[in-house]
Amino acid sequence: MMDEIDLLARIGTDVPPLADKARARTRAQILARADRAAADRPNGVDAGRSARFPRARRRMAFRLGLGTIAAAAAAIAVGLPLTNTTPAYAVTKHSDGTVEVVIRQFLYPKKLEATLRENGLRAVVDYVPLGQVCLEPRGLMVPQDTMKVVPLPAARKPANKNTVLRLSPAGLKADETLVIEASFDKSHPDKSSIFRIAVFRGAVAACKPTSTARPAPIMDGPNGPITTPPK
Amino acid sequence: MAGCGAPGVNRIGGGCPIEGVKTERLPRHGLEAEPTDAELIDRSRRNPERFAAVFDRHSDRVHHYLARRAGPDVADDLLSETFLRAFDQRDRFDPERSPTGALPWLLGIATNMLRDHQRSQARRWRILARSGTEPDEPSPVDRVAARVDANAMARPLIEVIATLADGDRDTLLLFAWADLTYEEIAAALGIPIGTVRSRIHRTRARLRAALGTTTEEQESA
Repeated sequence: MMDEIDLLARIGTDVPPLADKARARTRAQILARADRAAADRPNGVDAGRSARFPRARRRMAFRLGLGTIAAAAAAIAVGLPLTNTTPAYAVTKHSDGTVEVVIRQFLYPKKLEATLRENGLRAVVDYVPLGQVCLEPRGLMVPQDTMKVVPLPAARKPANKNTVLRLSPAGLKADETLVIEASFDKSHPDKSSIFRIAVFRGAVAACKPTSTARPAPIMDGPNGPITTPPK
Repeated sequence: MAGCGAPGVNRIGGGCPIEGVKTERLPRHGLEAEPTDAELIDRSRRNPERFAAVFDRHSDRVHHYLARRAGPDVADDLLSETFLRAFDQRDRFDPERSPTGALPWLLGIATNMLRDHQRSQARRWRILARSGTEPDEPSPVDRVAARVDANAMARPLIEVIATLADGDRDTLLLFAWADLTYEEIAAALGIPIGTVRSRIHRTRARLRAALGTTTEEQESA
């Protein structure tokens, strides 16, 4: 006779297996989180905190962690936008689904890329040194969809000259990727000379930095980004 | 780039064949001795992307457990949350506590996720019950029960499970649905093995009693 555990073990065995799409999505989320963790790591120091962090520092980190969790929980509870802020950029997801990006320094592009992906926006972000651009073509550009993802122009606030983007992930189709490129002067990482943004359909080639025919001017005017098309 | 977008932003030109496709760096499998879970997690402290291999290894079993407990509709999201939390907490993985690998640890995290999820579900059901509004979808327990209608004997088990304390239910289902041993359940839930034994003993007695009652009812009918 079948016992109660045998009978229980037969319940719910017909659930569908993990679908390939869900598997790929979760895997991408883990890699994005890993990318961020790697970018956050100072000078290649690993995350093996338990062995190296003194107890007091671990306690402090734990308290900070609890504070962060509490703040996030509070934000969720009252419906506030969730912001991921670093010295280089801030990414805020608003309740209407749009994502606001404030770029203060053109540093850590892959970290920004991972943050955008975590906020539901499949993006590729590349910053190259002043006088260079990513070699084109990188793929198939879709201008009409770029307008859907970037409905508002990039703007710079006169007070702090940050680059601000308001992006709409809903405008991005399943096979599309938002590509953000900028070139910057290492001595002035808060300014870009070229700032470009577009939606690509299908695969996007890796950025191969290549020299521009003429140096692009540093963008510091009051009327928004000054852009120079690559030759 | 007229028509390509907003003023002040230069839209990237393109439309030509792709020269090289950016690829993710993935862990190599099969080129060396298969690392243990503990080794993978330890390596992920230096190379965080190595944690993807832990996901590759255990995602199916964790998903199956989540889908059986919470239903397939939410299992995908809970799976993501489980592995992202595991990644964030990978420093806390203790191979001595979980010598058979990372699965018990992952299922322990998944169980916590289920509790959070069920609390929100329970809140919703209490609100609906108070307001007298008929919910659009069956409760998770009803959903499981609907699947087992063909086997009438299973229904009293579901009814018992629905009334169990959280700890008793988690212990029983890690045993019956995730195939964990008592030692692994103790590691997953962070409780002494004696507690696992007593919980299993207690819940099995309740299940047997429910089945006995049903059998007697069927025989007398």
